[in-house]
Amino acid sequence: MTGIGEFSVVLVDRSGYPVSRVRRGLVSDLIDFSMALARIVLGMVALIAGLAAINIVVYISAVGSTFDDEVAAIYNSSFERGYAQTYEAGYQEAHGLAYEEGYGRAYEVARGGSSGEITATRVELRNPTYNELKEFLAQDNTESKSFIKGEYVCFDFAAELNNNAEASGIRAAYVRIHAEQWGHAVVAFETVDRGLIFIEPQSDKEVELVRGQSYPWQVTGASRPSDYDDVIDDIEIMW
Amino acid sequence: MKGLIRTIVIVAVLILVGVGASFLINRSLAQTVAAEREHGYMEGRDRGYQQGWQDGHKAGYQEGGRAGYLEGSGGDNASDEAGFYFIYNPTYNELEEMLVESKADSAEEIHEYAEGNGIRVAYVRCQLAREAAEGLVYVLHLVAFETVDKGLVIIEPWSYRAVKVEVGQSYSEQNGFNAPGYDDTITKVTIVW
Repeated sequence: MTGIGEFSVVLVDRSGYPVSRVRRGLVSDLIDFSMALARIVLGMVALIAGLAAINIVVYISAVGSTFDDEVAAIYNSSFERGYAQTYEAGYQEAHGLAYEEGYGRAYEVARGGSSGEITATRVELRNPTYNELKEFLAQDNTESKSFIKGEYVCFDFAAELNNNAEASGIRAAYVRIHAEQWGHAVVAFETVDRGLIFIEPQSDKEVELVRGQSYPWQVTGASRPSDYDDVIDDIEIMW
Repeated sequence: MKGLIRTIVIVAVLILVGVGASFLINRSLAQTVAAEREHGYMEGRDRGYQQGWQDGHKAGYQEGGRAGYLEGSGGDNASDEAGFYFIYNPTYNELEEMLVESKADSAEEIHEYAEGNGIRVAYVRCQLAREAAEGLVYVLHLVAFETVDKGLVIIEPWSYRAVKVEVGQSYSEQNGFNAPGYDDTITKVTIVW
């Protein structure tokens, strides 16, 4: 709409349709379309990222594993691989040398010294059979003693059973069990027919010791010294 | 138009940041994994060799001991028994030699070395009067040997000195050591063979 004395110039095509309006309309539509497309792409990126994060959370919760656990598993498998590669070499190397040493020393001890000479003497200890161990435990009464806090505790039970066994000619080991906030003591025997056996001296019951697991107090009937975390960290066997 | 450019730039930056962060995190994780793999392998090799050596030494010593004892004794039936174990009480001189050879500085190490070389050894636990936290006690970890010429000898692992451990007496006083800044009266001694 123009008033008197005013004029307006409009570029039109042959049919009289204004050209600039046509161009402006196409560009505007193209921009709107691109914006919509970009928003869709952005939305999809966010959606994919969200789904990926959810998947990771679901995976971790499902397998109960974290990166630290995975790293620990890799460490352990590598440790075992390395361990297996060198164990046998160390064993064979030491075995040959020690055989000669043991032979020579035992030969000398068995023969004894010349008249009047004081020489080392063999201590008559033997590894028992499983039945011999059971017979010994049946006649020993260490387990019947009372646990007295601060006076006669797990350490004393283990020391007494160990010493009684050795006094009977049976080789025994004092075993110290370590946990983060706690300690315990039991006795071990290297039986001829069933290998290494651990005995809880407060009850004479056999006990299985596994690093990373709790000591089985209920099974063995021993007095639990505290309510601390009792997951076994280390087992030290002193023959 | 400006809105379109802004959106494209934001998307591009997000993608670049994501890719970059992912790359850095992956590289860091991969390095951690590789380091742990190497560390575990080397530790395993060391421990495997040590354990193999210890086990091999014990087994070899006992097998040799059995054969040597049989030979030296002219056919003693004891060494034919399935549970035969060769272990002996040393002379005092042998004990001293063994301590020097062992180069050990703890009760556990001396115990392990002596036992592995056929010498009978005991673990000695001396409880002290020194005040400790609730439920705990201070103890000295020593080792003992039943020598054939000087009887029972108790050894302090870090000095290789023969020591006395009378209950009711100060550990430092009865052995001529400098007094520590606490009550070192021995309240209980337990010897575990």
